[in-house]
Amino acid sequence: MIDLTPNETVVLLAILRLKENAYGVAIREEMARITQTTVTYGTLYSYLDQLFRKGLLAKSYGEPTSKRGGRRKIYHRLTPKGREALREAYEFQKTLVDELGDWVAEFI
Amino acid sequence: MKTGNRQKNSGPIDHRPPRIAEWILGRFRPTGDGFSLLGDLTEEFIHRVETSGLRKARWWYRREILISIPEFTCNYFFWSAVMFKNYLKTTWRVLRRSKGFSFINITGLAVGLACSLIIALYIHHERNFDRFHKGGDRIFRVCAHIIQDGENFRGAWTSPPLAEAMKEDFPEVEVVTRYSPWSSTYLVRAGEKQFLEERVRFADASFFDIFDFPFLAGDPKTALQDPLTVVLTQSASVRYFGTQSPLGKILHFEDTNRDFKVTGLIQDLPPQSHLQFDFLASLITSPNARSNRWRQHNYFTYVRLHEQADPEALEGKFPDFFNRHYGPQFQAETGKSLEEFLAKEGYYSSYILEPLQDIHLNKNVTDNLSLKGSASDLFIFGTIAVFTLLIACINFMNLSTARFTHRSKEVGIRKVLGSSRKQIIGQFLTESVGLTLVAFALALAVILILLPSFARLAERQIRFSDFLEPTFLFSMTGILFVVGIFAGSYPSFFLSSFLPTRTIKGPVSVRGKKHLFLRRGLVVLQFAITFFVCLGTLVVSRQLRFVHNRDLGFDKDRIVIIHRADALRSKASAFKQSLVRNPDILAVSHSESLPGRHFDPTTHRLEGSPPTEEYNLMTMYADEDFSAVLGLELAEGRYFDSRIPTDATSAVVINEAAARAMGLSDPVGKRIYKEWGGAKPGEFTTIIGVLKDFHFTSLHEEIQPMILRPFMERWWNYTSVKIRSDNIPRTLGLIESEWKTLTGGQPFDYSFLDSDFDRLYRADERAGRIFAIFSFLALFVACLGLFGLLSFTVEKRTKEIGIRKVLGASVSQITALITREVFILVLAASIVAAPLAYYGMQKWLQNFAYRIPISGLLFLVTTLFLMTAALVSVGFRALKAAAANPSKSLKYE
Repeated sequence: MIDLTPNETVVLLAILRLKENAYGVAIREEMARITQTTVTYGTLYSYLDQLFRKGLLAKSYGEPTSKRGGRRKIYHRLTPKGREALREAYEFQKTLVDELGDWVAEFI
Repeated sequence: MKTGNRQKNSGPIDHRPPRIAEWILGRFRPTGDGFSLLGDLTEEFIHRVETSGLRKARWWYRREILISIPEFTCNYFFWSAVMFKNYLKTTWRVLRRSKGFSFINITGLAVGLACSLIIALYIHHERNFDRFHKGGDRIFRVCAHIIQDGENFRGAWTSPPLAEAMKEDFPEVEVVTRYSPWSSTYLVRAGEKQFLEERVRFADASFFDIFDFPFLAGDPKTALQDPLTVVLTQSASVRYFGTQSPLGKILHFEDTNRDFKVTGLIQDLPPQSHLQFDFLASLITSPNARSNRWRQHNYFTYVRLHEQADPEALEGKFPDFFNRHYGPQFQAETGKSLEEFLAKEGYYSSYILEPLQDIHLNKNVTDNLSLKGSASDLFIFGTIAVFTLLIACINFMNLSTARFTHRSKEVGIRKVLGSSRKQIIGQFLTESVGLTLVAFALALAVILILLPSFARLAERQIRFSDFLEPTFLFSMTGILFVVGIFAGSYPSFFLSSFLPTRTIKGPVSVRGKKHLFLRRGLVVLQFAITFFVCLGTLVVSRQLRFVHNRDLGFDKDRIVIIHRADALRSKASAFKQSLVRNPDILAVSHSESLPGRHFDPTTHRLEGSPPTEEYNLMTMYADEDFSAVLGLELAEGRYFDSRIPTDATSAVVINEAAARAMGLSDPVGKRIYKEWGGAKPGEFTTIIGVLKDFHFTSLHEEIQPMILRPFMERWWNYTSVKIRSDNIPRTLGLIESEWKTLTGGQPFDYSFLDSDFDRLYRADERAGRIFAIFSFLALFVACLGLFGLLSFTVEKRTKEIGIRKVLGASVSQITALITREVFILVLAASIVAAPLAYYGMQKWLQNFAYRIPISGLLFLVTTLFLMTAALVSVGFRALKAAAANPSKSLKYE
């Protein structure tokens, strides 16, 4: 089992949903949409670095555009290991909800 | 590039994001996805400019960067650590792959480091004398300053009344104290225990007010207040009283027959103190301490000034002060005015203040302290240290660079994989700092082994633990990094400059005649130095053999010298008679001095010559057996004879040099005015014999004119005993028991004349040993340098050698081709060094009045020796290169 922090899970989720278009700006927007808060680019890139180092992400390079000051995009996608991690995280959350959901609801 | 970018972008969007991001990313994100991050930032920035205006966008941008800095740095350190780990790994691999080379390279640096560290330690030790006294920068020694005939003389001895007068006249002076530096041997007794003590000194009560020697018992303020009180060091106290407290105990000084009460116990003196004693007795014990005579010079005077006092201004008041105090006394004694006298004779006399912390190394002030350091020695040593370190570094550089072909591919691959030049420089610097650290560890081991012998050679208590002193440790670490970076600088810049395409294709050939010339020059320089010290070693050892083997004109073997012989008092002849009865004892003599010991000149006048015609003759009182003990030979006349009564009063014996000095062709029977031994004016003494010249001083000096006067108990210091060679311990035991019986059990202090005499060459033997050590080191380092150079040239000529072999050259021909350079270099070094070495050694030999010539043969031998050493060191490398398979070296074409 690969442990993911909630933020990492959100990053993976965002990349998964963006499919072919998962580069920095888009990922950040998608994350903001999911969590209703923004992260800085510095934080985002350190998540991306960590996930890449863990082997959950793969990169590919896009073409440079003038809109980006002549810099290339890096597109991210999930590796099989990344998908597996996300699935495990999903199942864990699901178990939590199934097992405790109704019970906890009473207290809130 | 940046301006280009700007122009390109100046069309649709005129708003560039702040430049700061690029800079920060450049610092902290040398690897990774920095460019993409920048792209993202720019994209969003532009978007924000469009939606909410330039200003807000800029603010957002800056905020974004600022908040992200911690994230960036984390990443930076992470990747730096990863790369650092890789560098260490590579270093380790390189070390293992070429063990021999690494060994030589590291050892070379280690030897250089060890050598310079030991010297650094020594210099550090010498420069930190007398630093432990509170207010040390306000403590001065008052020294006499005399200018006579344009020559400066500064002496540390000052008059007894000076201290008191200073305190009274100058409000600047806070405390003043006197210290008597004279040493003599005392027999000290406490109960049953008695020892001979040489470290007995005297000082005023205020001594411990100025100088901080921690008291273990007793009161520093009052310890030396009364006459006949003494302060002991701990080890001296243990000697007499064991673990008991010495306070209030009595120490009996046999020679002066006085009892001193112990009033204080201090810790043993630190080695870095110019004041050295075991016993410090109260100065007012001696009546001389109350003398008001300004003409006497026998004490050191120390002052501590008030904090506001200006020492220079105080010095300016001294000439007047001196005239004020000495003037009346001078007038009373000579009837002349001091000021007139000084003016007429062109004579200047006053005082100077010598800072306490300068005393140890100050050679401008004469003080005859035994522990005295020498600033010029330190300078020479320091130069050697810097030089050794420099050469070791250069060799390290050379050897590392010579190996570059083996690393060029690695550099190429690294570059292709994305290393920047900076990173490669960083890698090699890491490597060289790492190697330096290894070399340093090795150097510490070398120091641990060598330091005790070095300390003995330098006659200083330098310990390994001195390394742990914070300031020293701190500067060492600094030096280490500088050495590592310096030694690694050339290889790293050189290696990192290669273009990857060239390095990966095949070994890069080295170009640049300039570098080679520099390298050769360095090797020549190293061998020139080696030549110098090797020749020095040879000359010193031959000169020492010469002085040891030279016929001294007397026989120094098997002579026992008994010190403090006058402790026998009236039993001189009884002692003598009881000794000579023993068949193992051949002769016994009482005398004032002995060859190799101290002699004083006195003036003598021949009968009938005018008072102005005086001759300075070295003078000694000796008895009738002196010539028998030493085996002296007579040139004319006879020696003292106990059967002739007038010999004891009105006879003298001179040496040939004295006869020559006084211009006497037939000296026997000539008469000399007798002005000693209570003789009345007009009494004469007759020259009864002339001794053949013998070396009563070391061979550093010419044989001086000498006169022997008949023995007098008042001038009795030594008794010398000539013994047979068989069973010396038994004979010594016999002399000792006789001594004990007649002196009432006083300790028997003896030595042997031959070893005493040899001790006169101790400084020269030290020089010889230092030369030997440095020739070994220099040879080692020079051979290393040569090895580096040869490795370099061989690498460079690999292809040439291959082609030569293909065309039919034999291994021996190739070897000769390679080693020819070695011969030329060593020969060049010898030619460069020979005149300097000749000059230097001639200068050293001038210390001796009797010396060997420096023959051409010595130069030849040294050159041959160096050539052999050089050949041995590079022979294997040359053979290996010559034997290499040409198909390998030519493969790449």
